[in-house]
Amino acid sequence: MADVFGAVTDSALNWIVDFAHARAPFLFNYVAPSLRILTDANGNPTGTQDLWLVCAPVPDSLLGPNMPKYRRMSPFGVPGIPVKLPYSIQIVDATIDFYPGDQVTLPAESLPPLNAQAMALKISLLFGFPCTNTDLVSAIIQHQTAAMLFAPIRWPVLPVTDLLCFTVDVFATGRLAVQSTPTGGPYPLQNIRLIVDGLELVDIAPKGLEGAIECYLTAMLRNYVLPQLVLGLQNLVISTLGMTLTPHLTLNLPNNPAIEQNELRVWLDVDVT
Amino acid sequence: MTDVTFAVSERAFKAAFNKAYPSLPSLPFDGSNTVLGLVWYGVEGAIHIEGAGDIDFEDGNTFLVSELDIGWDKLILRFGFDIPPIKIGGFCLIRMPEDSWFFPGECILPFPGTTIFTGAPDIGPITLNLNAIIPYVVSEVSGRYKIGIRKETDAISGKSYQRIYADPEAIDVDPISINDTLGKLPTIVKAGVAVASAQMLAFLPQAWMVDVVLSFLGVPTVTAYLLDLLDIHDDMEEWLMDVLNVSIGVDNLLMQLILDDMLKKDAVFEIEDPYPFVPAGKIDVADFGGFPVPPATPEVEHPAIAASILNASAEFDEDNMFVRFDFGP
Repeated sequence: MADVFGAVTDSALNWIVDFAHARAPFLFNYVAPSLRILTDANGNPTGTQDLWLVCAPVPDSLLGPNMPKYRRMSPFGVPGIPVKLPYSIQIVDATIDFYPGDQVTLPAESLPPLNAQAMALKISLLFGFPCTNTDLVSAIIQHQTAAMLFAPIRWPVLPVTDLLCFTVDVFATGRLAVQSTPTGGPYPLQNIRLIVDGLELVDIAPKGLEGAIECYLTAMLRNYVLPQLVLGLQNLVISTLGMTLTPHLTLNLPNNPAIEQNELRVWLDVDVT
Repeated sequence: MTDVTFAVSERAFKAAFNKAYPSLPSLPFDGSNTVLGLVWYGVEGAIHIEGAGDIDFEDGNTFLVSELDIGWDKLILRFGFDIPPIKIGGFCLIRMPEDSWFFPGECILPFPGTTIFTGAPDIGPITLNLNAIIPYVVSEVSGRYKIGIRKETDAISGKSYQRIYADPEAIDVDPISINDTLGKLPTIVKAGVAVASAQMLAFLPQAWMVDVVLSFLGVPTVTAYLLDLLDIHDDMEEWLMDVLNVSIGVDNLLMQLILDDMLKKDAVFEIEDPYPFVPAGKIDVADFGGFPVPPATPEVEHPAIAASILNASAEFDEDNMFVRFDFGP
């Protein structure tokens, strides 16, 4: 029997996601800002200012004025355009569903229903990219060429006022596994990994683009998001104990951590001397 | 179904209990009693709670500590004697002969009389330092505790917590037993009685009065008198256990001491409430945008993202303690 057991429901995690969404919007909105050109009374440019363009409006945080809405990202470059391009990526919805699945309706490609010990994740991503107006790009090229003769001023990013927006729904299914590495001590080093069984992007073409995005998202889920979730539960259990103990996953259980009965479950043993 | 469930085994619970409940520095106590109006006993001691030797969860919200280990840090027995006052009446030490021409028949050297043993106690307190036999003092303590969860605010940090306490419902202290395997006790007791004898003799202003007083008391020697008063016979261990358990009631002293100390103890477990999913921290303004009010400094402190803990409960079920709660705004 394990020393400590911890379980959290998928409903609770989804509630936490929504709760955090309203209070820390910068965790869900990633933006490479555009520029607003500031002018004097005669219309002459005097400087620039960040212009945070997004596709869906983001309300102010419920936690007050020190909570930003957006996390700054680096703009990306495209050959032939002498300035970087702004964009926004917004997580507008995220739902976690532990076996047996009852919160996420999986697409047919994901072969529903969920298998035992499996979980599903649905994330709705709202992308916004600028349209590079040809006249504007030409004007910038001319301006920067002229400016280089007198002063080394370059536009850091394309100044636009709106974005072209589209939504991508991502469905992922996976399960947790533990990779144990012997350490020579009584307990092996345990790394919790997510095995992604399937990841589907709905309505993305061509297939190559869909496949590339799926690769990026799979790596992100496998290496960061879900292991953090399990470690978070593990830390919650141990911090609640209020003790400085070295916990390790209880060995010789059929599934640990486990995903069952709509819960993520972890069994831990602690070294008590 | 509650949002979060913890289960803690008896083994892990015992580890947490033994972290929260041991008492250091030790717990001093002081008690005294009077027996038969003649002998006054007192005890001065100190113990510390080492922890639970064995914990058994019961169904519901109670658990049993069948072996609460305590250690003795100090044990000093005090005793004194409240001897009834003895009045030695006045008489004439030298009286003139009746046929003397000078104050015939008159007492020229009278003894005015005196009353001795008027103090309370008259002799003592004499201290018997029993620290040398502490390793042989056996104390068996058990208790039934009730688990409870309540929200409290830490006075220092200002943070609030759901704290799980083990409140003692009943502490049972068995009469202590002494197993003086090295036989140190007789020497300690005899030394104490010798000191008491010396103190008693000091009360008598004249050496010749010893015999007078002993004749009043009806005993051959002072030591015999004190041993008789103390009811000390051959078995020193039995005598000391009787004094501690019956005359002084040290088990009741210990019970109250342990009870009072445990009621003041820290929580066995605690959960921060509101629970911070994202802790408060500083952010570099340049890396973020969309502040409702543009910050005036390059760095700002953002508050924690924390949810309240609702419907918290703690109860035992078979071999586990279950803690359950929900999150709420």
